[in-house]
Amino acid sequence: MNELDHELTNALRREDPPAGFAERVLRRVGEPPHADQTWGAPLGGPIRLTASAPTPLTSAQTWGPPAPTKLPFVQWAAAAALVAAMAGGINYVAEQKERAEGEAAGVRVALALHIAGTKLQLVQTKITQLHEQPDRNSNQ
Amino acid sequence: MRIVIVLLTLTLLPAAATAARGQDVKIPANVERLAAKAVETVNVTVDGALLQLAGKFLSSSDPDQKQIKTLLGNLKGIYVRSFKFENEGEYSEADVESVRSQLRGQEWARIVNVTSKKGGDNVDVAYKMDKGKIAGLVVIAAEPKEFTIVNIVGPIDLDQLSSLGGQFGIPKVDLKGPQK
Repeated sequence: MNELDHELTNALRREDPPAGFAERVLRRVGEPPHADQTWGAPLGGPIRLTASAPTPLTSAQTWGPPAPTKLPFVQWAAAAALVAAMAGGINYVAEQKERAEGEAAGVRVALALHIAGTKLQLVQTKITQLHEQPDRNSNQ
Repeated sequence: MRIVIVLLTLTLLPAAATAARGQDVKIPANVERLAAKAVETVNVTVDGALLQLAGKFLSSSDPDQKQIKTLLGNLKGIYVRSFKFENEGEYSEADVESVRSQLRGQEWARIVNVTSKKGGDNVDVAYKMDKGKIAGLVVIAAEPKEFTIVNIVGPIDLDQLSSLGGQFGIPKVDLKGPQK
């Protein structure tokens, strides 16, 4: 246990940065982004965490958005796709609403016709009874 | 001033008449009030726009649905008021008469008027003709514990309505009457 404590204390002890580290970081912050910057490091690529050497980052290891001037078509295509997706979404919602209203109206129509049919059937029954009564009387 | 009033009356009268023609038979206030006494009230109001919308979602390839779609396509509205009561005598003859009296106009013809003293059922079926075709159908059914008014507005083919019986919960009705 003591050995582990010792190892941890050793590994996590405070170390001063190498000389000129702060200046190098500030200089890098002020630099414009590389034209071919991509998101994240490639799979399996080395990720440098050391601050010892001011190695310039390769294009594949730097972060930041793609340069706006190089791929205008992609941007326009993305914008068009977004607009199309939004329009499609709005249209879909409107269609779903119209369908729901249409189905609800269909239920009401079916109910109205059901009631109308029931009452007409009542009339038919009464008329049939009236027609049958003289027959029954004549048979007796 | 008088000229202005006369002109206004002449302008507004046709508009009022057109609005009233939409439903033809009005449900009087005394009948609407029956809802407070009724144990069950059915109020179906399907106007022309809703009928068109309902017809839009019926398939033209399915023969049954095509039939109802054709029927709905010509109609201008379907209005139903039905009141079910717990006990007999909860609505008056005056309530029935307030609706029935609207069918005494020249444009209306009564097909059936069944009055059953034994069962207490009174049913009136009236239709309205326009250019030689049925332009509306009204059924008033006054039963001991139930009072129903059905108003179908627009050109209606009775054979078509009859053929819908047995579908969509609509009972089978032979509108041609008993064959002898």
